[in-house]
Amino acid sequence: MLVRRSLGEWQELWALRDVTFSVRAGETLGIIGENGSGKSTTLKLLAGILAPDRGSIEIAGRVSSLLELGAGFQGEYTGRENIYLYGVLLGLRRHQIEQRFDDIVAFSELGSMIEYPVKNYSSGMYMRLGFAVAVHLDPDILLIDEVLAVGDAHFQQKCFEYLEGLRAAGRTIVLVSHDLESVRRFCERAIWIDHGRVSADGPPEQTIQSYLDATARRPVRAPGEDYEVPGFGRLTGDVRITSVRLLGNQGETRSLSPQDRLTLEIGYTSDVSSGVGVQVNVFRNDGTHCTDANSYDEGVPLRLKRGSGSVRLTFPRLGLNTGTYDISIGIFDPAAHRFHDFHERRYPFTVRGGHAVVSIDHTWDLEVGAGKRAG
Amino acid sequence: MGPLVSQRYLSTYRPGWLLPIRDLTELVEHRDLLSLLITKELKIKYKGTTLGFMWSLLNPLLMMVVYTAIFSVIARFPLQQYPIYLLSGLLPWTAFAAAVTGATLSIILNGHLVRRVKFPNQFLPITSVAAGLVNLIPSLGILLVFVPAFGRSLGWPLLALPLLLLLQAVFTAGIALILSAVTVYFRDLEHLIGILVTVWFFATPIIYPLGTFSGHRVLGTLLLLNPMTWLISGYQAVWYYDRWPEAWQLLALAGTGVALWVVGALVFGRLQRRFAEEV
Repeated sequence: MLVRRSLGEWQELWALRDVTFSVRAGETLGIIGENGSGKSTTLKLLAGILAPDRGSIEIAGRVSSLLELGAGFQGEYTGRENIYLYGVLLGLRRHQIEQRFDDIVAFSELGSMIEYPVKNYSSGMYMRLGFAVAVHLDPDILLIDEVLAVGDAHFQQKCFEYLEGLRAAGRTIVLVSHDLESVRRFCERAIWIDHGRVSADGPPEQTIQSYLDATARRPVRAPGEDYEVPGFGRLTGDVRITSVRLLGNQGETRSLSPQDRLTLEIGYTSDVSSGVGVQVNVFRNDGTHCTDANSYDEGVPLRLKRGSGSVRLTFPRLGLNTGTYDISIGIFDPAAHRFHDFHERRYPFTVRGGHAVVSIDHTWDLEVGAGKRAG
Repeated sequence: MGPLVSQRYLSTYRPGWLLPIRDLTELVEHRDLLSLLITKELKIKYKGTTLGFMWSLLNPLLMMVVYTAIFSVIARFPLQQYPIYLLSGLLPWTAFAAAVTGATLSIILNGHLVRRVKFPNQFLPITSVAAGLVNLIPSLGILLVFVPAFGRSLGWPLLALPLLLLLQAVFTAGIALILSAVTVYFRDLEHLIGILVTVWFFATPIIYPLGTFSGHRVLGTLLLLNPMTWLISGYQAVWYYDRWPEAWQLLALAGTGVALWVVGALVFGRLQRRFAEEV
């Protein structure tokens, strides 16, 4: 229970309620959910940093947690001193840390930087050291919150390989992540926490699917409701987006591969007959604006008639690589410079395949020179 | 490389009072943490200063000069070799005051650790206490030089010093535990503590002799009920009067210290549960 002051009054806020689950030794569990759903609170409770107001938590084994970037490093301390500090915080003896010291430094790829204060580190270096320390101190149970989102692809890959090793060695790993793809790839089981309760618990594929389905079904905003698209004022409500379907090569889907065709089928109901523009933006879950399409800017006339209908937008080849994405859709009146309706980042999907950011169509050509012939 | 620890780490987190006894085993397991935190505290304290650790000797010496200058002009106490009397009380007091003020802020200043890692948080205020004592012990060397230099004698009562230091540690730790935990919820304490310590300083016979208020019934009694009077009088007995500390004072101090420690452990254990949310 969190008690927070709001407008001079105290109110009860349950960050988590009726949450019951158990994790077998050696299991890898993913926890997914929206921001503020209670994922991180769950992890802090498991880590023993927060104590529950009701109920109990039982843990067998040494817990190491990587809850925030850097696990509580002291800026003034060198990397070396921070390794020792974190180790003794976890309850290790000095000599036990000494045994692992070289492995930690090697894994972190920090080299001689290990002798410099961590305040001089880049965020990537900080993260590498944090991860290296947390996984090398031989936890029975490892709790990881998001941190893998940071760092370059090479190091991320290395982290996952190391975690695979820990898993093979029978360690228990609990991973909280926004990155549904990591959870799908790495975890044997996933739970979805929604508004402080467990909404789904099962194989990652299933849990992620129910999460995505529910996100897609979120209640549509009432037309003309007090919602403003920054720079465009309130919605007119004259045209409403009534349904959105994501169609891949084989019909409706939320899981795609970079080579797939993606068609958005946007159903609408219009109270007016007028020309509109439709705007679609695709974001990656870290906020990167990946691509957009705008019928008006592209000179495509879309004239709606009073009543219902649908607009289709097709990307013949998606081109986006592994990751979790979100789509925003807006229908606007180009003349009045206002939006009729706007669905902000309401249509998530995941892509599997490829490691770089995008797959760009390309061709190869080989030209063999005339060369010299002997003799 | 096998796992370091196995299933014996079984922790259950439940609401309610934490048993101090479980905390004790936790403290033992984390013993290397304490030495590391103390080193860190001392390093940070003297970081960037030219004289470094010398300041823990210089500071009380300078204070002694100031107080001696003031009190040989304004109020003359019936004390021979006043600097010795002053120093013998001022040195342990400085350690006590530094520990108490340091402990008050210890949880808040280490919020980034408290929020991210589970470890026995008691070590934070206890570190302040230990760091104060680590500073005190070498500074007592000043007295070892000054007492004979001022022509006064030192003798067997010096053997009581370890006991005095131990009692000071227990008593200070109890107060430190309570203050550090309460400050997390009642931040005003952070600002109040300076004035409280100052009042306590003047309510303890450090710059004046114990007998000063013996004519005044209320003040005289209050002075005798002040645990710091018992402690400081002990040090003064050893260094200034060259006699053994009063047994009743030591016993009273031990009793108060243990009681404070128990209360401190309970209060701390209770309040600790929300530290991560509050700091």
